[in-house]
Amino acid sequence: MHHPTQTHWTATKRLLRYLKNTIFHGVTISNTSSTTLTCFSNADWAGNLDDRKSTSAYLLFLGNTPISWSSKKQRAIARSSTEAEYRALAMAATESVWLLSLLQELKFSLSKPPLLLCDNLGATQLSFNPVQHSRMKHIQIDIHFLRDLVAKNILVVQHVHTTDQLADLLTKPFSRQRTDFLRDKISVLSITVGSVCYPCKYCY
Amino acid sequence: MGYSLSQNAYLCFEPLTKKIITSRHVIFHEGSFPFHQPDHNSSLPSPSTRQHSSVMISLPKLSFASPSTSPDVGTEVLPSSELGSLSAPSPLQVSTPPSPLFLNPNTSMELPAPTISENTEVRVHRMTTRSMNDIYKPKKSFLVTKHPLPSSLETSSVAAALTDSRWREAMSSELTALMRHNTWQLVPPPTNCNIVGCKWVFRVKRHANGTVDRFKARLVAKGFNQRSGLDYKETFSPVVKSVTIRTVLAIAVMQGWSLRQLDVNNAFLHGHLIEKVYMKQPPGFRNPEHPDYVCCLTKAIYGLKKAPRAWYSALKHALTEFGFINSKSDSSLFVFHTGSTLAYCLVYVDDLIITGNNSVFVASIVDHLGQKFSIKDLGSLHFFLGMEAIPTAASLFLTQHKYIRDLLAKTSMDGARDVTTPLSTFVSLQLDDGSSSVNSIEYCQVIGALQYLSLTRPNISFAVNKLS
Repeated sequence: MHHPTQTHWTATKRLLRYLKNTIFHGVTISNTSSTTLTCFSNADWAGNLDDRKSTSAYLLFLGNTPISWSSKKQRAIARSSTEAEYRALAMAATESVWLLSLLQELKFSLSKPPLLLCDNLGATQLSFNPVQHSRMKHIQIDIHFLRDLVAKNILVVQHVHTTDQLADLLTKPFSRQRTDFLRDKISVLSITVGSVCYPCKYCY
Repeated sequence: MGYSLSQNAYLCFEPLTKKIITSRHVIFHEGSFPFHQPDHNSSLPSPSTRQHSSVMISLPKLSFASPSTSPDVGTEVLPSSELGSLSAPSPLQVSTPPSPLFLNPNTSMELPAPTISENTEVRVHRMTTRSMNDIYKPKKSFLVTKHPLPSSLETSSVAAALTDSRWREAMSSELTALMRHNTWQLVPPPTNCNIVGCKWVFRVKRHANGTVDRFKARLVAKGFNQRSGLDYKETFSPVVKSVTIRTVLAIAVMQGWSLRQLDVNNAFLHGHLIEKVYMKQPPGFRNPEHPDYVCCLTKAIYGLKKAPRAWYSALKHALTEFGFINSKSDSSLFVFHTGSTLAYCLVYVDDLIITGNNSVFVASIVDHLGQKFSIKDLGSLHFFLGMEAIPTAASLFLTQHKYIRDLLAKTSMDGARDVTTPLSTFVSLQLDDGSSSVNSIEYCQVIGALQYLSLTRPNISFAVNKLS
């Protein structure tokens, strides 16, 4: 950000070109009857080539509607992918807890506790296994924070296969097929009004 | 001597025959100045006395080659008499009086005949530009706009605005609104207080096609003169989180509730000021009896640091009176829950979204707020925070396509080729990759604009985060 180079500018222009291509895309808020909170949590371990910091991301659905998402560079350097994933999981848990309190104030009751999905087996099991691992002893606060929430049954953490990991889109670049597949999955679509495509309606 | 005004050619003075020649084939000898004389009294050769010009512009002291050299240097010299009727006006047009070209004979450079002289230390040569000759051509890029905007309409000076009846009307209607809200009392100036200034801001509100909607004048306080801790303590602006907006919309769509959108006119004028703030009298509208008095503000006015906070507490008071509870998770959210009735109210400065399971109750809230404040009922939700909400059969669709289009136009990327993925999979972005650096201000502006797109586009948030 402070010293952008030509490469960054080219990438920014590519993003603008992508936006031009997908100008009518947006979030669809669907009226499903499912009242669940599902959170996909993901991390890209040591993805930053400058300082080898990881990226953590989460994508939170209320029913089928994506309502909260974030993609952020982690502040500390993770020494293993499990560590990076676990940090992402803790961040997703923070957001879920805040949303739980918001939904409670909105008098909206969920049918079951929020479900956190993580594609790393180690991190998933670490959230409920009270085992002290030597490689994880330096992220004590995150471990205890999440383990406490899971023990109180406020959250449920489950494993999800990488192919079904929707938050993948928020951690690394992908091919066209995978990008489009994930984008459709998170209900970011181009709008159609009736059977008419929205752009055609206004004849741009 | 300059350009011919009737032809695309140069005007040349032939020193020996003392004629003015129009020609396109001219070679410039930059180093020689045949008419240069240090003690030359610069006199204007009037065209009517063209015969005298040989006397006034005395022949240069520099050595001249014979006229026969002119073909040698490749100039084709056509005497003006041979050019026929086209060049006939040129001696007359030369007369355009005090052109600096004529006042300063040093500048005549296009004499075909003279050879390079030894007198090279003469540096009195001055470039003659078109603007020096009062030849101007308006820039084309300023002429062509989609909506030709007469820039003279908006003014910044009160004196100019007071002469225009439309602005006077706008200013008096703003003052009437201020008076109706009892915004201030005139008091003698206090001695030990910071007195903030104020100014008028004039805006022409236009329709989408560029025609004038109305003239709007707003009195704003110069709040930047206020000092933290002395004039004000806490500031706050009611800005709702985007997650809260989406959550409330998701719940409303799930339950099939209708969404109402309201807009508060002169929102900040509804806020009561607790601190004493003194403001100078509005320029152009001084009280004739007490011209040195100042306004002791009782209501918040645009520009004051406290204005959004004062408005928020006024709105909060009104909503709590009605039975709403301010949410702890997001202070811009108000929830009403009594028995089976449930209603939500989202606040974004002066825009409100109200929804609930009882449409009669929602209508009564709108009425209640309409009595307290002057509000504009915008009907069902369609455009909020630059985000368009389009209801479809089974869902609500949120898009920011207007914002994207404006952004593309601003970055002049609207004609670019399309791509199918936001980020390239093989180009790695590093801090120092050896390529040249670009303007970081422009870059930051674009990235900042892209970050606002996170309202409706989760799929680009990684790319934006990566680039920032």
